[in-house]
Amino acid sequence: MLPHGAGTSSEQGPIPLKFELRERYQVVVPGAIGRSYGCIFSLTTGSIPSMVDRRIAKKLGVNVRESEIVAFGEKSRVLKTVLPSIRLAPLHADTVTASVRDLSFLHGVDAIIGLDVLARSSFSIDYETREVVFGPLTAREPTVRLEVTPRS
Amino acid sequence: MTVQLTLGGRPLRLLVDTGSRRLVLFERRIRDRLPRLPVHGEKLLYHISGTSRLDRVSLPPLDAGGTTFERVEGFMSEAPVDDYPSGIDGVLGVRVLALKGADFDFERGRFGFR
Repeated sequence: MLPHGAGTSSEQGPIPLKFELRERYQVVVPGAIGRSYGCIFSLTTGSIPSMVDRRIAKKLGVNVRESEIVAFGEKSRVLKTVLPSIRLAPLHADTVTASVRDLSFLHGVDAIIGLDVLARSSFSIDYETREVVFGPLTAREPTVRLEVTPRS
Repeated sequence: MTVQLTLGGRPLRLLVDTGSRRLVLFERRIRDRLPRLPVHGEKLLYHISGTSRLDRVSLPPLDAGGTTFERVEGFMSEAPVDDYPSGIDGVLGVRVLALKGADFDFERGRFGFR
């Protein structure tokens, strides 16, 4: 069962979004794709672009075309589509290009939300409390420089 | 998204991936810059493009701008990584990120452990 603490910006500041840690590493949260509510997302900073399960793409009725991705140095053919929107409170992204894959190996995850969407807002992940907070972060040290490097 | 860290005092650049479980080093990218790391077995890694065989290695201290991790479990991949952008030496996964939690500050272009 997924936690339902939807994070929104307010005068009290961002509200933490509870996540489920599946298999001790997957950060899984609820969200919506277009008008498909109650979706289950895996937040994956190592993925560009985001990916949607093919049954969700079919349910949405979006156009799908063939393309190519690389993971661990190996190329594979994938299908791509343009999703009308992705909502992951308080993140909202319109017209998101995403790969279409069989994500059944992720046991119920409807989409992998990649850096193309996640980088639209700073965020913080607390694995101990299992909360993710989107929005401007308080400056703290020590930190290291973050470089956004597209995967070819 | 990458960060520069040091491993045993030697700099390396890792892809920060909240969707990966482990810290994986690309042997072909670091073989000339790191001393040979002791291997303690093998592991098969299943990912979206197939399966990779990894060597389990003992890592020297890992440092991120002053935050140091001792005795971190690491894995070495000997698979071709030509399709990764040059300069990426491996993947920093959740086994390390979850030790302290992680801040991704895109406004300032900074990454930090909590």
